[in-house]
Amino acid sequence: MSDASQEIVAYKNPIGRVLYFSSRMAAILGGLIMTALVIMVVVSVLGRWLISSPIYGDFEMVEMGTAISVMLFLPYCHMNRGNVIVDLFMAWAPKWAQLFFDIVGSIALAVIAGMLSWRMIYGGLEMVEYNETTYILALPLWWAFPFAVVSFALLCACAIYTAVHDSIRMFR
Amino acid sequence: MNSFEIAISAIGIMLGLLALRIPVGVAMLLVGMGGYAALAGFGPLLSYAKAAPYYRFSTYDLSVVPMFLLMSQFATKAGLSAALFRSANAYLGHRKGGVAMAAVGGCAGFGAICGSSLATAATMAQVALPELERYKYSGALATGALAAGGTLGILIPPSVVLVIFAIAVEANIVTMFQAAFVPGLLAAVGYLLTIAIYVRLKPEAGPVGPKASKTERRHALLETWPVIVIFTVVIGGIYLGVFTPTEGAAFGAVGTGLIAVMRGGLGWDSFLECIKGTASSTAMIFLILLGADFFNAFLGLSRMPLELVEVIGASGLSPMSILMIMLLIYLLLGCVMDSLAMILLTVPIFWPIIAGLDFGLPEDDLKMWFGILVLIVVEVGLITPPVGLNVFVINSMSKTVKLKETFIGVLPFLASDFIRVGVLILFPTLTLWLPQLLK
Repeated sequence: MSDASQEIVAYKNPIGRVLYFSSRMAAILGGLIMTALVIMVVVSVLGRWLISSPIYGDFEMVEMGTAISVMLFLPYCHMNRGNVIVDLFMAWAPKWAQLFFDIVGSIALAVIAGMLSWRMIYGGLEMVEYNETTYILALPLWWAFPFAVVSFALLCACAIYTAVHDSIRMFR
Repeated sequence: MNSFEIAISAIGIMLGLLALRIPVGVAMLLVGMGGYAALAGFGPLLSYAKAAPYYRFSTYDLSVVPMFLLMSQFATKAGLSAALFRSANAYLGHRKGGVAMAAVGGCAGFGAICGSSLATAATMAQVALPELERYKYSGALATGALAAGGTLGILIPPSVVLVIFAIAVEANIVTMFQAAFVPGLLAAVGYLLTIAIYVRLKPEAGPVGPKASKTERRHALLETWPVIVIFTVVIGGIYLGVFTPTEGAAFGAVGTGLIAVMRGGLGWDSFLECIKGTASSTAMIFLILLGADFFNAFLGLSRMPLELVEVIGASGLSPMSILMIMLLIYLLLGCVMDSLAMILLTVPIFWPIIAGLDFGLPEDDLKMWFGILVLIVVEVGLITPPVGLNVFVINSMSKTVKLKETFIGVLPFLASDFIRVGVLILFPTLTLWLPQLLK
């Protein structure tokens, strides 16, 4: 796992700072949700053991909560250039070539994230239309979709920004 | 082009993209979406994309991943690595090479509450490297032992990589964790033996460390109680089916978090740091998972894996030689690629092939046996050139040791890894014993 390879990139441009700030806030929100989930699960299991009353439908909250927090994590990871790359064959290539393919990667990610954000608007609307809910708690599934749409849109914006950021570096 | 050819060329394109530094998750998404659209058309792709990320990310079994990552983050703040190392040193330090053995022992202990190899290596190095330098251990042995010891973080449950493998082959995470226990212990023992042989051949590399009295030993061992309690509750609870892996991971995260707070290592700022670290590593893994989801949907449509099974079945190669070829491919890929990415990339193609061969094992046992073998060979990639991440991390923490020395230092440990893989191939019982016992 390359979790120690995360470098904090300095974004001096105001747009970059706003995007970086937003992605960091999204990650922190996701992390707080994740922390709340682990506490909820512990309380539920202790309840099951001690007074044989677990929190009703706890695993449904875990499922939806995990999905929401993971999506909130995505833009931050990209802004920190934390995604896994195979850095062997290009390690000896000139800097401009590395930057060029980083830009290609960012553009591809922007297109994919933009597409997912757009499609998940309809995914969410369908969940509303068909009134899809979880089995036990009857939580509406669409609740997760606004988070998905916003997270992927932010990821798209971040990817466009890093593409531009790297292009400027490449031509300098 | 028929769909088999499309699938093969798509894999070729993807390998090309990977070589050009396109992030693994992005390359898989791109090729998976492209291939899906080529085979089924754009309409079906657009409608598949409406909810696929939600369904992928809301899988109950996967929630164990961010929870274990959070637990690992808290564990690094809890100051437990120092206690573990001191305790191992009290028992092993007075032997030849004992301080290096203590470092490996500490890694094994830390690996029992931390599912990440790099975090284990780095955390243990912080406390063990200064001691190793103080007792004049050779740079090669000191850094090699720590880099190799770090891989115990992944071999000894909880292990994030193992969870991902289990999900990729639709295996039971619980039995998978059970299967990893004996091989993990073997790894730790193998590394200790490696050091013992090493210092017999080169006594000046690993001088004798301090001798601790009986009371000192007992005190040092008592200091490690949080690790013992957390490991027993989390892994014991998961093994015995007291709770699900997700519930175990939640207990682990809350437990290590509380201990870190009690020991003064976790305030608001470091909590935010932990959260952000968890966010980064989780997102990194889940972007690849999302890529694998689209890629697998495409592969499924193409029916390529099934046809490949037939082709290989007709080739007349023995099951064992096919297994060897696969492990070799993992070894080579591991030299250039992250272990998780590698598993998600290859398992959809490799697993059907293995499942179709006759190894004399029922399918569930085969999943465990193959999974543990894969786990070991992909982890070898963390300590081999050119991109052995553990080696780089440990080496950068030590100011005096040259990178070449560290790479030489891990060689004996690599030999021990290969011997262990051989033993586990020859004796599947070693892997399958505990799951069968606890069934």
